[in-house]
Amino acid sequence: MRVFLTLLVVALGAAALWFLPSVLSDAEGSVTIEIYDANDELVVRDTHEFYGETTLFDMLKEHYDITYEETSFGAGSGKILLAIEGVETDFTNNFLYLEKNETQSFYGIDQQLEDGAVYTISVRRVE
Amino acid sequence: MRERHIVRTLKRMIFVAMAATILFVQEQLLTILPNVQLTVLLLVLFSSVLTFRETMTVIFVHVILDSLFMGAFYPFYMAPMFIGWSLIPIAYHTVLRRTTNDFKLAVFGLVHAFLYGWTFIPFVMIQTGIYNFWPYLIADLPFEIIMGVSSFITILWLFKPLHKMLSRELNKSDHHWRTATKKP
Repeated sequence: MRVFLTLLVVALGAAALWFLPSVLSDAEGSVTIEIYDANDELVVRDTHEFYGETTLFDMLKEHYDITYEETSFGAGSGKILLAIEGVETDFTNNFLYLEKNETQSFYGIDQQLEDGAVYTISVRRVE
Repeated sequence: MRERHIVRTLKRMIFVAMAATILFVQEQLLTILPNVQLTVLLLVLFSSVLTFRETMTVIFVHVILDSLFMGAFYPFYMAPMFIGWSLIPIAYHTVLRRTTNDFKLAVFGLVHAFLYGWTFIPFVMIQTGIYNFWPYLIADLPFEIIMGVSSFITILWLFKPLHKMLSRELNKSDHHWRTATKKP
């Protein structure tokens, strides 16, 4: 009986470990993060997996060294990215420009991640 | 009578110290295998032969030692660890009703692995400032499965003989003391 139970639990455990990634793959997605410095040189290009509803901010905070501030615009509020991996902005003369799939992103870093998207952060001067 | 009480208390104190040492050493020896350990088996075993307070002392010492040794003397690591291990004596003296049925205890060992993993989630959330529950739950599942299987097997095979030996040794030394101090 003990031998049977031991084999059963080991088999179930092994099966769970084997099938876990594929069972949970529906909730998975991956995004690419690109960061360019003030000289327009690529500093970071990474691909990360995410699970469930994750914001770009969550992703950046988990994987990179970032500085940000909580701000409010009228009725809304959000987070402003001030520095990431040494790429900084003073938010007066320049700012961190966010693109999603090579087009200007209309939402900031509080947006939900989209599977397969490429998020590009670069330094832009205020004109 | 008073001497007997002192000897008995001393003996139990020594046993508690030895239990904490064994618990710590085996865990360090098995760190090469992630989440494969005898900690759950030993805590279930100690819960069955020691009082609730004595088992909690073993856990307290173990958490302090482990945190010092691993260089993480940090509340967000120590608190969930203490809560997670404390679930064993708490469950043993409440829901498990001090059972010595190895199958029931093995099933509890399996379930405890998941409970132990989940106790860390709120602390990690506070620490990282990321309040997304799902990634934490998913990331820990493989380790919980390994820990659960290892706990189940070790309790199923080793609890009965160890419990029998430990109870016999504790009673035997009590009997030896009674014989040695018996007046002619």
